[in-house]
Amino acid sequence: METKKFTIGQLIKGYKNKSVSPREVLDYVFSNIKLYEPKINSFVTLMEEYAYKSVESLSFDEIDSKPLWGVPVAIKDNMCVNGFKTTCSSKILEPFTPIYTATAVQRLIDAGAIVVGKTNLDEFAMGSSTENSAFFTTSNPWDIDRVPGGSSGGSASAVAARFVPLATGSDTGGSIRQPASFCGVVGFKPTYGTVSRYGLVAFASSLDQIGPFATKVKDVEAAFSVISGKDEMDSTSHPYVFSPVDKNIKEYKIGIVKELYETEGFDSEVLDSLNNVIRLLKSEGCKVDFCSLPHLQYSLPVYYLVATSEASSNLARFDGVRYGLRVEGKDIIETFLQTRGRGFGSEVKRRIMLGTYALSSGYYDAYYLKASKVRTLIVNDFEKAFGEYDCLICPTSPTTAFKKGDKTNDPLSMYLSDIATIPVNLAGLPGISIPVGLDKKGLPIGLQIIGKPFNDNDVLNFASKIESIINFEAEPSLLGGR
Amino acid sequence: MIDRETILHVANLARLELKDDEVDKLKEDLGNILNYFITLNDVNTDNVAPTFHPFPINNIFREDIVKESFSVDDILSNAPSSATTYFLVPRIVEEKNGN
Repeated sequence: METKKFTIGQLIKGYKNKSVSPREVLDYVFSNIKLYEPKINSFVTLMEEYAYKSVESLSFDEIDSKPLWGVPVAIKDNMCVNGFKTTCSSKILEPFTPIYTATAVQRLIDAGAIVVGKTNLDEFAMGSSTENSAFFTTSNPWDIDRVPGGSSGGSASAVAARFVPLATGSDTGGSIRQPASFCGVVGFKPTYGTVSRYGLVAFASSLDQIGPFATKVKDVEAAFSVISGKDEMDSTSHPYVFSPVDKNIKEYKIGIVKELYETEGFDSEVLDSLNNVIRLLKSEGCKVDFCSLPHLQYSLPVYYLVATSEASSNLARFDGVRYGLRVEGKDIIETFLQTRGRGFGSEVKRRIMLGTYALSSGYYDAYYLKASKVRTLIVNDFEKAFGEYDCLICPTSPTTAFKKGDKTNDPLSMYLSDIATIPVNLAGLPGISIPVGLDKKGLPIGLQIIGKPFNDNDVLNFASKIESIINFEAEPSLLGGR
Repeated sequence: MIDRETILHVANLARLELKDDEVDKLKEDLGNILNYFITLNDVNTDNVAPTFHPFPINNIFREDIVKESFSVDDILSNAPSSATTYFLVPRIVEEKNGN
């Protein structure tokens, strides 16, 4: 099979004209994984036996009613699949085997998708490089000395390496879009609430959102149309119904976010690539203008106070009593202290500490409450911008993929790689990263498109139009010779 | 900006046992991070309501109807220690005067 044909659309076409079978595709998937996975390390758990069994239960009669019929999918290892370990790449959850399946995953399965494995992440989705995994660091398929981004680095690299045409991620501050950008694939964070989070291990509940990775916008759209919508198991889920739009690119009024363009820290090559997109859009007849969101400069402190506060509360459940690791102490308090002290890695501890501090008596007003108020101003800035523009664009990340180890000793510089994605979560907006070019080192550059809440279809349509103009066809050459 | 005592106090609130070198590292890291976050004080937030959730979400009520749920065995299957229908944990209440 040619890797160019390894998209959902091409697979379904092949299945329909019987030029290939889902079983043959699985053979291809697992032989590829066996060849290249030792270099890339996308997966925490492979589900080969389960995948072949699932394929057997597919009936050809259902190919028209199941939009993901026979499509292999990888699942980020913070989403439950009944009977298979869900580790969150943490020692504290290493022994945990869920007894139910996350709604988003179940909907993929019900639509005919075949789960082939669980992918690596920064522990509890806290990180931007996958280096915080308690097990191993995933490599970027474009350059194995570099990180794939994070926290959904396993899923992004698995799609980039063409192990799978589809994978799931979760995005709290950029964990889908930033790794998509680093790995040269498409990553979509839908509007907050459009996809159920039942069965997703919670990180920061007012920010967390599940979304898909693929190589083409149409493919993430296909997955999103399946996983979105109300779920009675998640009371924060929205009764959203996806309906595709097909609007001409000329009809879009696009804002370029000034604060994510004129700031230091953005690579000149990344900005050159954005300028190129702006030129193309203008030549297509699109209205493009700079717009200012003055409070965006405060996004990082707001995010790290809000997200860590929520995380410190959400992660209180890992205490060695009901599931996961237990380090037995002489009494229950000592058991809590030792279990958590040994079970969590250093970044998770840092965030629990920061969040606990921000919520603690005497500091709540100065940190958590203050951050929540500035969050309002950021939300208002977006509302104002969307009064004038249909979509906003900016680089997904200030740089392309950095080298492993480059930022592990400096948490603040690591946090800065999410500067352009974080504001989107604070306001609950839909955002997508699509590959738009390569830098001089041959590393992919991502473009982020941000839309109005619940206008996910508009964002996807616009992304798809840009995609066809730019026609990014590059693939990681490191895996060449297949 | 943040002292050792505060780190130990917060670690206890969070039920995290920290090694000495972890305390030192956290003291430095949290100090730097909070120092960077001080920029928030530049923003006037008088009369600004906080946002705790991106969209207004209210409590959602459902009918109180008993439905089939997980079996006790399934729930206990992940417990580090259990007996019959219970999770087992180390002693919580101390013994006093032989009681």
